[in-house]
Amino acid sequence: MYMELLLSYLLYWGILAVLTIYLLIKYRRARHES
Amino acid sequence: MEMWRILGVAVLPLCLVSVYLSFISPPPIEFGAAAPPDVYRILYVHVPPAWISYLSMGFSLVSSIVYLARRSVKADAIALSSMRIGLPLSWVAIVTGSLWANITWGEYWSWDPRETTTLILALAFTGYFALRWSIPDIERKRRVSAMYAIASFITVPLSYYSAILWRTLHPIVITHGEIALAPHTGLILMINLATALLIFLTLLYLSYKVEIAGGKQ
Repeated sequence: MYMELLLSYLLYWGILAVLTIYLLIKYRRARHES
Repeated sequence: MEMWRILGVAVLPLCLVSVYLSFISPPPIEFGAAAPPDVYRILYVHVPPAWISYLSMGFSLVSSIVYLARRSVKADAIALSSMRIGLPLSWVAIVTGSLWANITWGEYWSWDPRETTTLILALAFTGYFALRWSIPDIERKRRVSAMYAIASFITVPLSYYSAILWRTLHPIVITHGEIALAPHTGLILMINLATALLIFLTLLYLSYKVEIAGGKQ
């Protein structure tokens, strides 16, 4: 049960962190190119 | 200082508070004594991604209508950005729900109406990007994607009302503006929802800036 709980939290916050980093990298690249 | 940076700085402490509150809250009685005591805490990472994916579809619907009416590139950038955030979150809602279902219902997937309709919602998000990437011409890509986003919004009421209209194992937490939870659980859920909303707005704005700066989409 605690494994499911841990996985759920890691998944939710992990996806948000990955999405943020992905967008920040894209933003930096877009600014650098423009 | 840019808006997304201000939002980002404001949302960081809220994230920490949300996680902290999610783990210190006492178990509510409505989840039953038979259920394991801490399993309900998945609620705080299951409801926000589901609601934000509904909101993403809503943003995309409105911006796609604006795009078709005015051929505004900015409106298309908002629709794309909104879908970009909703896509992973819809799958997070499905996986966290599935993990929770395994503990309380005894299996990961049972083709429950809410499970099935939310899967359709997540597939609709996925289809948006498959469609967008498959069309090389930018104008046509934007037009067809906007029409698809408008049509795929139907998956939101389908998913939301599935638990109300059909026989389902899924609990109905929020109906007609009332929260069927203990006050402290409802409050912590609302704080988690507010945090998720702020994160959504920050990422939406950041993604919008990326698309406008890139100009390719």
